[in-house]
Amino acid sequence: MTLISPTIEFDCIPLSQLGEREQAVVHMADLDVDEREALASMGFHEDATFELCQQGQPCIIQVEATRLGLSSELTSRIMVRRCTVCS
Amino acid sequence: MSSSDLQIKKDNSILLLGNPNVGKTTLFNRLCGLRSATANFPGSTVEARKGKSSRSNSTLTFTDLPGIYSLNAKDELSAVCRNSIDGVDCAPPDAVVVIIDATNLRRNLTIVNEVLHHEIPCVIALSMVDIAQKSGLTIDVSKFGEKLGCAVVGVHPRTGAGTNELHEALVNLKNSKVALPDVNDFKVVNTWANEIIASSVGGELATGTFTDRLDRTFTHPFLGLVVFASVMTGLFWTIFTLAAFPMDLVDVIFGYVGATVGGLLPAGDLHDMLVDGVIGGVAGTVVFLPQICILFFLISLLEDTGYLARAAFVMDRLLRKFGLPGQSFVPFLSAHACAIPAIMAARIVPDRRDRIATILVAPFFSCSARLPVYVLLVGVLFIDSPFLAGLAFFGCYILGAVAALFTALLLRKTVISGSSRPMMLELPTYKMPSLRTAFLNTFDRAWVFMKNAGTVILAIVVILWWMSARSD
Repeated sequence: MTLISPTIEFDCIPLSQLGEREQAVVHMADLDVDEREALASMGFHEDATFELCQQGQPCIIQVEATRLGLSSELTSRIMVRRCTVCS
Repeated sequence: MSSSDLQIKKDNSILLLGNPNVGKTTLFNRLCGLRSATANFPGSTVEARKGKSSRSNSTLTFTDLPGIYSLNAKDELSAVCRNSIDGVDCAPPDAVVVIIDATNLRRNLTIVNEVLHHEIPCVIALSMVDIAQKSGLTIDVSKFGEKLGCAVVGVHPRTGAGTNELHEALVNLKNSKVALPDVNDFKVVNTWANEIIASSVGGELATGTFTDRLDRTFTHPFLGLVVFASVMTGLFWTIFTLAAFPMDLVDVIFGYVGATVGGLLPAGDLHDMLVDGVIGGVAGTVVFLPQICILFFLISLLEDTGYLARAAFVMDRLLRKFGLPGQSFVPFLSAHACAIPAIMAARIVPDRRDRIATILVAPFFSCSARLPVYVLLVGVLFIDSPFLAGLAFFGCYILGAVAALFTALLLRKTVISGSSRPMMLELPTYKMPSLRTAFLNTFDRAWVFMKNAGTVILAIVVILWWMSARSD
C-alpha cells in the first residue's frame, strides 16, 4: 500500500477520453465545489492516482480499493493526466 | 504523547460512525439485535436507530449514524453526524466508534482524522480484516492504534467476532493525544494516512477481475437492462407468490375476530364502530404487511449484494430524461410496497431538488393498498377475458409509473427547475447477502410502517366509517 511517484505526461485529457486499464492522475476538476468535495471525500481528489476499469455510462474507475461509478456528464469535465508508471 | 484513561459515563451513549458499505449497520445489528428502536435525529428527517448491548455486566447504548464520507460535507447526513458528535440539540455522546474498512484504509482514515479533531473518546473498529488478509494485506493492529492514539479492534460484523473486545474497549477507554493533520488539506491528510499505513500495514492489495466482469454485464446498455428486468420480475413474482398465503391468513383471522367480537356485542353504534371501524381498519393495514415485509427483505438482500448501486446506474439513463437521478429508483421500488417508506428512503438522493421531486412523485407508483382496487376493477370490466384482465392489471401499474415520471418532468421544468448533480456513486464489492441483516432490517421497517402508517390509517378508517355511518 505504498505510493510510487508517477511519471506524468503533461498533456491533460478529459477522463472520458482515457482508455480502459489506463492509469492516470486527477489534474484539475472543472467542477462545482460541491461536486469536487463529494468526489474528494470518496478518495477521488486532486493528484489521486486511479485506473479506468470501464469507459461509458457509467464510467467505472478504481482509486485504490474504492470503485466509483461516474456519469458521462461528469467524466467529460474531469481532466486527467495519463501516467506511465503508477502503482 | 500524553496518555489518559477515559472512563465512560453512566449514560454509556456510543455513536457508530463510518463510510457507507463498511458493515456499520451489520455491526449495529450484531451488537443490539432486536433491542433497538427507530426515531428521527433532532431537527431532521434522518432516521436514527438506537439499541442497547449488554456484555459482562455493562450496558451500552449505541446509535447507528448514517454512512458518510466526510463529517465536513454540506449535506444533511453529514450535518446530523456532526451535530450528534458535538451534542447539538441532543446530549453529547460518551464515545464514538469509527468503523473502517481494512481493505480501504487510506480513504477511511480521512473520517478518523475528522472525528479525532472533535476531541471525543474514540475506538476504531476494523472491519473486513478477513478480506484484507485474503487480498494480501497484514495489519499490525496495536501499531495502528498507537499511531491514532486510540484502541483499534478487529471485528467481523457478520459473525460477531470481535464484538466482545469492542465492548471491552469501550468500557475501558484509553485515548492519547496525537498530532493530527489539518482536515481541510487533502494532501497533508493523505501524507499522514500514508505514514500510518506504511508503519502498520504490510503487503499489497490484490484486486480481482471478478467484479470487473460482473460490472460489464450489470451496467451494459443492453445486458444491464435485461438483468435489471429479470431481477425486478423475479422480485415482484416472489412478492406476489409468497405474500398470497399470509394475506389470506390475515383476512381469515380478522374475519374470525370481527365475527367473535360482533357476536359478543349487541347491535348498535358501538358494535359497528368496533367491528367495521376498528377491527376492519386494523385488518386493512395489517393485510399489506406480508407484501411490505417481503419487499423490504428482498431489497435488503439486493442492497447487500452490491447490485442496487449498479441498478441505479442502469436506471439513471432512463430517469435522467425525466429530470431524476438514478438513485431515485430505490425509493420508487419501495413505493410499490408503501409511499411512506419510499419517502423515507428518498434521503439517499443527494441533490435537494432531485430529492423533493422524488418525494412528490413516489406516491404515484402502485402501492400494495391499490392492488385490491385494481383486482376489483379489472374483475368487473373484463369478467370474461382473463388475458385482457391481466393486461389491464399490468397497465394500471404502468400508468402509475408513467404518471410519476411525467409529473417529475413537469416539476423539474417548472417549480423545482435547475440543474441536478450528476451521478457519482461508490460501487461496493459484490458479496453474499446477510440473512440476519435482512431479517432485522425487515423487522425494523415493518415496525416503523405499523407505527407510522398503521396509526394514521386506523384513525382515518375510523373517521371514514363514522362519516359513512352518519350519512345513512
